[in-house]
Amino acid sequence: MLVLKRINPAQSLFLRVFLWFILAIFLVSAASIFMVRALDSGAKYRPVKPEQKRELNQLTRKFQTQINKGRHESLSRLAQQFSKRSRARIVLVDPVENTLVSAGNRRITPIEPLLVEFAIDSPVIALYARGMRFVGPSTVMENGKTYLLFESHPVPGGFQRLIREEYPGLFIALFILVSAGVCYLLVRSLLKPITQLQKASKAMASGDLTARVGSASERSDQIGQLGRDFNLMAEKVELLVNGQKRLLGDISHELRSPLARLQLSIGIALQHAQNSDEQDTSALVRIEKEANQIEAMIAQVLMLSRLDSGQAVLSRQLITLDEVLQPIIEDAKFEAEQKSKSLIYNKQNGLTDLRLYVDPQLFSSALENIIRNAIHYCQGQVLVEVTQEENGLVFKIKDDGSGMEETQLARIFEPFYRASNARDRNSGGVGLGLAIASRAIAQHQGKLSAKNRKVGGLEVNLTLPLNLEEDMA
Amino acid sequence: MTDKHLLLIDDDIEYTQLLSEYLSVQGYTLDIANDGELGLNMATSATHYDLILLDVMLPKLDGFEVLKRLRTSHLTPVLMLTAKGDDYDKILGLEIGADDYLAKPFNHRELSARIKALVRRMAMLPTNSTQQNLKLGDVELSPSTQQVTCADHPLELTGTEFSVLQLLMINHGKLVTKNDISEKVLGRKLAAFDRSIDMHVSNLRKKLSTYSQEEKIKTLRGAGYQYLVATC
Repeated sequence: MLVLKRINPAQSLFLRVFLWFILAIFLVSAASIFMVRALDSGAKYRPVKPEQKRELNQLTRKFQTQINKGRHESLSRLAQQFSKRSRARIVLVDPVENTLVSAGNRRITPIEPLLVEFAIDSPVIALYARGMRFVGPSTVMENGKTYLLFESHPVPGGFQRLIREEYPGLFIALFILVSAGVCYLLVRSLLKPITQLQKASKAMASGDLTARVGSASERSDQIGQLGRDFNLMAEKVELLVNGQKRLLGDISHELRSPLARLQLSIGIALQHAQNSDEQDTSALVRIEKEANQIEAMIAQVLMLSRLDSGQAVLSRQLITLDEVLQPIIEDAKFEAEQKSKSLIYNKQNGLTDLRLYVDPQLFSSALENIIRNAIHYCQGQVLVEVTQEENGLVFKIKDDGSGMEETQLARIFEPFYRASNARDRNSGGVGLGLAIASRAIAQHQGKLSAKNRKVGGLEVNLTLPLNLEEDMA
Repeated sequence: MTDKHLLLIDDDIEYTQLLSEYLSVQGYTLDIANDGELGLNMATSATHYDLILLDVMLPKLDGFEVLKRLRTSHLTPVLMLTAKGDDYDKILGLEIGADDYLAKPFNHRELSARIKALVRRMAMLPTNSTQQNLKLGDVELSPSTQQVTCADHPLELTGTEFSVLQLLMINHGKLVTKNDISEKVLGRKLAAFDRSIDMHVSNLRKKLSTYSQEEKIKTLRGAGYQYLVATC
């Protein structure tokens, strides 16, 4: 799947650039080959060396002797037979008709126009063409008619030429293969840093603020500049976001001392009130309630800030599903009844003794938060389902409330987010419950997601991978 | 009313004053130390304290260090005041030998309930002198002297550890649930996934195992603990 996606030119920059490169190389090569062919016959004329001339004369004498014996059917046949016996091939040209005597030879025919140019009185010369060397002309006589004789040898080392000329298909294939390899390396070197950049941006977008561009930022070109700028930006963002989170944690941290004093003062005031037989302590009781509320909020913010900063130490242990879930379900049922709502709990068979490797406190408080949230927003019924699936244990918490706008769904796990803008204080929370839950689950390598049910209401899915124990062990 | 002497070690001066005022109404006498060094000196002085309230964050000597040094010589009950949100602190505190912990900021009712539970339990101990000494295998527990010996070696146990051991030995061979231990020893209901009882039992086991190889306290997962009766 991944490979297919990678080579789809519509989606992969890599393949597109690669194809363009190879197309360009191919066109340029084809054009230059065509032009070279058009301008140059491919033939080279060289002065003949003395030993070559001697050899030609020898050959000519021998051939003339053969002709003079007069036992041949035709001149071209004789040339053929003679060529087979000696090291060199003999090519005969009729200077009057301007044609090859030994016609029909596939390798010689293309050079025919060059060979027929020669006249009887042409100086002896070496002609290199088509992987062969022609030395000539000398003359032989048959029946009073003069023929030009060329001695031809294949030029040693003409292998590549041989391939090009004998197997053009193979040659093109080889050419494409080599240029494709070069193109691949080139494109890869061009796109690798871009891929790095893209991966870093993606990691950053998905919340990993520590994501940085690696080696690509060390390049001295524009891409390197882009990489460095990205890293700079990432650093700034990380600093800002972490600073903000830390601030939240720090404020809550600092709030604890005055709050502790406030709570004690309330206690003292209440003691005084009791000792002096003060009847109306309702205001003090109210203040105490609010102080407790602040205390709960601070505890939540601190919890969130610890989970965010990764300071939370998970004390994981093996615990059965029932040990975790049963107390939560019982409490939740009780709470639902108090609100004249109901909670239905369905568990897949055989999960009772399933062991989870979790931090019981953190995990169960996350689960409890989700369930209590569902109880709060449902009309009359909350459904809790636990099933074991391929990717782990799945907890589904469904309510029959009014659900959420699709655009808001992802936001419910953000801190301080509330479905209704009216801050309804009686719900007890500060909008941190689900945020803490999602971070707590993430610490367990699990996943929390929400969607609207078709029948109305919200469904929160919690997936907890089950092979945790092996991972940790 | 109760006439108990408490020592409060905390660096927040205003807070200690408030606490002193609050607790004195309930009949406790409160001494205050605003840093760890002073606190340790006072705790180990000739003055008898029924309970020490010990904050974790302290100048000069932090709460854990104070507790560690105190425990080398004294078994005075200690209630750790940890910072809210630092779960690690309370576990560490219990490991070193704190009797209980309370996360700051806390509700004042919670505080007086905890203090009452710890002080009352300690106060109850001498009245236990009518109780018989317990002897199971090589472990001997004497409620009157608050002494425990294992294979004739005296063990240094904190008040909470002593009470946990006593409870388990009285009910030897039977299952004692964590909730029972929490209610009878710490005077409070066991909160969900509270590990403090486990910590106390684990400390007990460690101390017992110094002198005895055989397993004495068995964990019944998810349920509680059981003191094993020697089969021989």
